[in-house]
Amino acid sequence: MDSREPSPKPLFVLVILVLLYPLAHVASSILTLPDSHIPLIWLGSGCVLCALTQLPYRWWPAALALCGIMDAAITHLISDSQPVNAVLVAMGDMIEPLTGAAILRFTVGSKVDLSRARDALWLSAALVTGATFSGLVVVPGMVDAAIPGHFALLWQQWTFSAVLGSTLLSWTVLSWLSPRESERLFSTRRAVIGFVLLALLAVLQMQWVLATPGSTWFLGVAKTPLLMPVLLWTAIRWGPRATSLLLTAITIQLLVAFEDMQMPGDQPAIKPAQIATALQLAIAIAGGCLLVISSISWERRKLLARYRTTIGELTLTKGRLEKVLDSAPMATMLVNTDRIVMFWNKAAERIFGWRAEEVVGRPVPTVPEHLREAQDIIRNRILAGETLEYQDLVRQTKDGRLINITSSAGPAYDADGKINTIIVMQMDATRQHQADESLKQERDFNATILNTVGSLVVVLDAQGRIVLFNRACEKCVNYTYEEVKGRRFWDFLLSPEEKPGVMGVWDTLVSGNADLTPSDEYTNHWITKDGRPRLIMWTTAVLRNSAGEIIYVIGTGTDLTDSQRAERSLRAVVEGTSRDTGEDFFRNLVRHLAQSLGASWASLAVIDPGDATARTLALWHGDIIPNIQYALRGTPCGTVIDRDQCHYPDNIAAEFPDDLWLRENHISSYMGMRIADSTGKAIGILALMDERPMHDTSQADALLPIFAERAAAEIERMRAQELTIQLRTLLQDMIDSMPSTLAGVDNHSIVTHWNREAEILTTIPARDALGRRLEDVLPVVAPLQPSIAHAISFLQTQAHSRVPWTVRGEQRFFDITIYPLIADWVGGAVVRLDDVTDRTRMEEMVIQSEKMVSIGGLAAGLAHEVNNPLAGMMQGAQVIQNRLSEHLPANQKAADAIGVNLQSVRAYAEHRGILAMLESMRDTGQRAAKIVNNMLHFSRKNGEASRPTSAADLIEKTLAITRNDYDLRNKYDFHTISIVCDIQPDMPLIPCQETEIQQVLLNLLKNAAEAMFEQPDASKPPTLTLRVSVDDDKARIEVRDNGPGMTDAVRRRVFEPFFTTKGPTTGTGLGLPVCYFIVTRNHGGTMTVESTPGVGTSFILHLPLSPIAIQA
Amino acid sequence: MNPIRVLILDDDPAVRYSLGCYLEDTGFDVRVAPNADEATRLLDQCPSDVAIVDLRLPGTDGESFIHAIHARHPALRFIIHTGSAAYDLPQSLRRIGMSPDHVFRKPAADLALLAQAIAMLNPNDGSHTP
Repeated sequence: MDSREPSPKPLFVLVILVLLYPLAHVASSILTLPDSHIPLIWLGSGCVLCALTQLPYRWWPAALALCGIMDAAITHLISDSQPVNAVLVAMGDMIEPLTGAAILRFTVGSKVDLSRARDALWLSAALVTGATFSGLVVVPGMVDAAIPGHFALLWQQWTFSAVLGSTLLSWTVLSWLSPRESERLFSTRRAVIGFVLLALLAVLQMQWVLATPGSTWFLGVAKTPLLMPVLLWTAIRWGPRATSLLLTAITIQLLVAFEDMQMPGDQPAIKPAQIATALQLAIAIAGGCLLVISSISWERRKLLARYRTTIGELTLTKGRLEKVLDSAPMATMLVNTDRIVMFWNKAAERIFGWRAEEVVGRPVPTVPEHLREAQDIIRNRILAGETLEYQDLVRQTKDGRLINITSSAGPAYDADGKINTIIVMQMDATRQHQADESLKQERDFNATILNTVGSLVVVLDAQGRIVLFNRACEKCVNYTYEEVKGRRFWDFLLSPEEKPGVMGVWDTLVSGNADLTPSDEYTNHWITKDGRPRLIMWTTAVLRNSAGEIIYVIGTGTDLTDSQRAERSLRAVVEGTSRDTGEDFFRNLVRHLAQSLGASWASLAVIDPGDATARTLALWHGDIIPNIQYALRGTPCGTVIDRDQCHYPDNIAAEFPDDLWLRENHISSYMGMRIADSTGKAIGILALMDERPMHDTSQADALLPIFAERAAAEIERMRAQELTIQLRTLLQDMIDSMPSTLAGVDNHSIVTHWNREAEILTTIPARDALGRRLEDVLPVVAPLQPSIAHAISFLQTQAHSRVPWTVRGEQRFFDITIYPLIADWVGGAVVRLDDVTDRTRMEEMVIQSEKMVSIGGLAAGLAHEVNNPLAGMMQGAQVIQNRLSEHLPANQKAADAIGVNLQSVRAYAEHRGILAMLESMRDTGQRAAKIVNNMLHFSRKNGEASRPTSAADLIEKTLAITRNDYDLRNKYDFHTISIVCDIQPDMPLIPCQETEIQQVLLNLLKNAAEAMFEQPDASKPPTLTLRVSVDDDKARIEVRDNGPGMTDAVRRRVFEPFFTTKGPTTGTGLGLPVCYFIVTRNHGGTMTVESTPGVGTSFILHLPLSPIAIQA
Repeated sequence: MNPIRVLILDDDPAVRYSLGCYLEDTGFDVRVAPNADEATRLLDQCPSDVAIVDLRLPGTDGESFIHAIHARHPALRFIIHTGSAAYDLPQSLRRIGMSPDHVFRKPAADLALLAQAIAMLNPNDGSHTP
């Protein structure tokens, strides 16, 4: 049904219903057989169903309520039913149309067209379902239902009567409401399906009825389904209205048939009155239907009249439209699907030259022969539903000219939605074409500019659709203009995270009331076709028409991605390497370099001394790989050194055929940068390599020098550091190897340096000494604090000589020098201690020697004066001893002469200790003489001449003396000492004063013997070793014993005059000093002593072999 | 056999006397003189076999005395007995037959050695021993 057809007004329908319903109800009641109490045909429900299909849902309660009330009232009045029962029946009556109408409305809608099989079938289904359902509600409430077997019967009767009544009424009414214009009835196929279904239903119903006990009177009724095929055939053949008439006839026939019916248990009785009733019914139905139909028809006619008016107006409009089209400047034509022109306006006549009469009804004449095929393609697209516009179509005119036209063509649809016409509008563009040409040139010019500028330019319309997308944009995001044209930029160019923000900006931009001024810059990311983000900084401008509406939004952008990347790599270089030094720095540098510039190889090499080879400090190939060393000759690196910078974009192996390394690693491109130190000398090479060609070097050009600069600084720094470390080590070694004790202090007297000698002297290791106060670790300087402070304050070196300090129980002497540190950034001083103990002692000894010399001179003069009295005394003593002797005849004679007994005298002398005293006098005198004699040795006066002497003789003679030296008073015995002599075979003669050297050796041997016997050691047989050898230009004579040795303190003093470890009666304290004196002063030699406690002592003499060296 | 005649020339009376005593006890014929003149006079009166001469003397010193008296009494043998420890026998004295063995230093540890030397100096009677 055409949706444009008007529906009856609801109020009208309701009024009809209220009028009709009591009629239908009464009619049905009349038809009720008095004996059976069964309403045979229930017209009321059909009446309500029809009304409900026509009413909007909101009217349904009113319609149902009205009819329900009427139903209950009429039932109560006519059949004297109990009010409750009447209400129940009324409810059941209302449930039936409600259910049926609901089904119909849900399936078919309000416009039921019974000429359509679908609608007819759904109507049947709705009627049966409504009757069945309402029967289930009502029948249990009936009085007879309680009788066994009656429920089924009653329910059947209810259903049957309801269906029959409803069908009759609703089919009649709805068939007349269906459009008459509709010519198509049941389609044959659908009708056949419906027919078969109804036939099946009829057979089933028949079987069911026949199977029901006591239903014989229903046999007539059972004929109804058998009539269905007739009914359908009528519907197919003559339409629903004819069918409704037929239906009415059948109903009447049925009513007549009731006459023959026999109810179970009833005696059949023919009641002529019933015929009258049937006739009355027929008249009533016919009248009611007539009333309904005529009233609805009246309404429809009224509506149709209005409809026609509208159509008339439309026709009028069409005429106007054609006039409008005629007067339009565009050639407008309607062409049917067979290319036949249906309409041809004045403009078309003007443009193409053909008159409407000439072309209407004929094929389109304007398409030139050679463009037919192209035109067919266009036509097919239009027939497929597209509307097309063309700018430069070529068409021909009646006089054979070819003209350029602008064309717009689209399809027009018929009532069935099929394309039956093509509407074509065309304009002569020839003149415009020329104007366009210059415009186009300008546009091309602009486009070229837009495409050549590096900036991204995108033009959007007010809806955000892309209108223009320049080459820079295409390059940036990899979309072509064709791909993006007309698309909203936010649909595909934005990342989901940024989209809300950008949309916000867009909204404020297009709303126009924004704070966002056109010049504002903002950045966002565009996502490329392959999904990578590009950072773009935008400047936007909004182009408005004279009404202030936005036409275009123009965005100009700069792709910051690369610069950001460059910036990032720069930052990476600076930040990533700033914390690193040395190896880590270089590794990070090549890594960042390779990653920033996308090269597969990066190398940082330093040139070895001699400039012939280089070695890498860091090499990157996917990761840091082991360093290599290579010859520079014949490599790209070799060229870099000469040329500052080198770039081999491809096929580098051809340039450097000898570089095997390049070939092995399949390297084809190279970019190198010379690393120069601050003087400009090449110190290294920074290089990028790749297996692929490397053409674009813009970024590398910018970055490499920075990297190289940074690397140069680091290499220089490292070299300087190496040098500093070397220097520091050297200085430390020097300081440590100095024989002086050195301690560095800051201006708070805190130790900052502590050399090895200081460690040895104090036994405090450097790590413990550093950081402590100087006086704590070096107490000797404690009294010198003011001096140190003075040195630091006034930058004056302070010196202190021979400061005594008792180190581990031995008094030693130090020269202490305090050097202020003059470097102004380090306050402090260096304290230097020189152990001058030995020197001091030597000097003291020299002084002593000098004293001895003067004593010697004195002694020389004195000796005679002393010796004479001594001689007198000692001789006297000897004479006395002699004269007390019993063996001297003179003594006996004298004793006899004076009459004394010599034995008595002697006994007396002995008794009184006189003899012992005499002996003591002689000994004491002897010792005095010896002292005087020794003192004489200090005298420079020396009578004996120096003679070349054989060392062997010298030693032999000395040993001979020792052998005769056996003395009971001595604690030693040379006979028990094993003496080893080791004289170098070719020993030259030694120029010396033989007796003096003998004296020296004798002295040493005696001392050694004494020492060994003083503390005898059973495990060590006393052994004396005499060794004579040539040492440089001197004869070296060593006298070694294996005695107890001596402490350092003793050792230092052995050459001091009057220093002795022997008892006061044994040593004079002059033996070794005299030896020393003889060797050093008289022979110009040296005499040293080495001793280790527990091991032994060595005295070593060095006598010059050249006589010149001998002092006078 | 006559004892060996010994002249002791020494200005120190203690030395002169004690030595004289010792040598007399030992069996020598001893005469003593405090100075060279006295010694010369004594020798001129009666010659000696051996003269024990101190070097430092008042007036004529010991060496001059030896030279002078040797000229007059060539047979006389000399022993120098001196307090000078560093005395070195001069060549002039060696020429008249003296040797370092004839030089004795005061104080002598044992006068027996001196006596022995005197005995050995006597050319006429080497067999004489004290």
